[in-house]
Amino acid sequence: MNRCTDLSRAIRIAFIATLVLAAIGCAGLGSITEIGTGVAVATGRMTDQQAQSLTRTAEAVERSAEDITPEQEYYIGRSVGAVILDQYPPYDSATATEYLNLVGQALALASDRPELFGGYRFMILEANEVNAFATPSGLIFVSRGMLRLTRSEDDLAAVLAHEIGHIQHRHGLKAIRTSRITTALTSAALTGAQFATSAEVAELTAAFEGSITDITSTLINSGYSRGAEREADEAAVEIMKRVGYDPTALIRVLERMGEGWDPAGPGFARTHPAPDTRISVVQRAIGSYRHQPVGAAARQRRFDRALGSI
Amino acid sequence: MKPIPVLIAAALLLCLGPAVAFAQTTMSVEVRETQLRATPSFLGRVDALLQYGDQVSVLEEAQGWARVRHQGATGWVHGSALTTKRIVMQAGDASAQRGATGSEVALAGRGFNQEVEDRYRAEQGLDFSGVDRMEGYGVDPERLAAFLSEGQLQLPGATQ
Repeated sequence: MNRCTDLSRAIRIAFIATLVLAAIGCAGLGSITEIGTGVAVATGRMTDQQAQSLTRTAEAVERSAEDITPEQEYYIGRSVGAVILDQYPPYDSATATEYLNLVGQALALASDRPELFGGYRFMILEANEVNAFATPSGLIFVSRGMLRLTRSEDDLAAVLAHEIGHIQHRHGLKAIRTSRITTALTSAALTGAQFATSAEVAELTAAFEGSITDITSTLINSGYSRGAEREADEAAVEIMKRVGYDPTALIRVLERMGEGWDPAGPGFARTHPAPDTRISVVQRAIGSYRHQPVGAAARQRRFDRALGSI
Repeated sequence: MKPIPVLIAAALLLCLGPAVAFAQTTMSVEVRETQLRATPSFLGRVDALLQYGDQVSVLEEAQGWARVRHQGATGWVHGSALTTKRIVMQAGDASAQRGATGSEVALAGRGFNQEVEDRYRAEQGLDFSGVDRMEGYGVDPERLAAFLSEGQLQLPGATQ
């Protein structure tokens, strides 16, 4: 073989390699399958129906929590909220609830994910156990028992900012089994018709029910991973710094939490790492940051007014 | 230079292209409603409202915010309200019928939606009144601004 042929073959191979690299890097697996199936259909080796089911299989590979749209996240979150409220009744106090929402909204707007489909909302639960939950869609619940561990607005901010951290990192959605996300998203992407068939709605509802159970059992029983709790604590510290709250308040709340710590009991002790572990994470996250203690007196007055008798 | 490294570099450039071109890109609003603001801050003056699915041209980016143009108006929108996917509001839309996939297009109202929630609610016998009430706990922006000011707190971004 002469040099000329060798060179042209090398260029040809390199050109194909470039196309493949570009396709992998830019498009992801699903699109490559689509290009491939498109060719197969055009050359008559595959029916449209076969092509569609193959595309659907390929999409199954790349679906994850990141692919859930804020709109679908909103519906997941509403149902998770309804399950939580089925187990814990709300605590009705207009003053306390409004205060909770003002502090919470300030923190949420300073987070890395201030915009959700339906926005952040905060509610107090009528429960003595120390607990707090965040649905993926921005519904945040805090028990009266948890609020009794807070003695200042900055303490309250620490509790709420940790829950916002879970939402910012999509921890709730990541608790959903991938197969259910795939069902939801392939159905959403592939149905061009105006209305889903009743079989599709039944399949979707089953995947939906499974998703809600995956999240609520994680929130109420098993808890997130230590890594997820670390991410939420680190986000909480960052959010508090941005708004001007004292991030060391998170350490104070964790210390109080540690006093009655019983991993066999209900609430945070069952679903969260021990406070000591979390305190060292928080201390590292705070680093050399020095809080400027301004406005503390005004914040204390309104905290006492709204939550003093919780 | 050998052809293979050059072509690999070209492939990488092709991949980086879309990120570099972000400043000219079209994005869609992926939340129910958001605001077009005079400054990149949630305390900035609201000049217009944007709805789910609205398309905007991104002019520049700064600290998580995007300066965008929408129907002749320009202003700032937080990046977490925007997606590069095109949101198709009507399932009968031409791009949906072409079988566009989830990587470029999101079909509004598909997948987990109100219909699925209604069915789940009926099957479980769950009460959603508490969640519905909670959705009404939105905070008035002026009230929030006064609350921040009283507590000597701030939100990130410029307010002027």
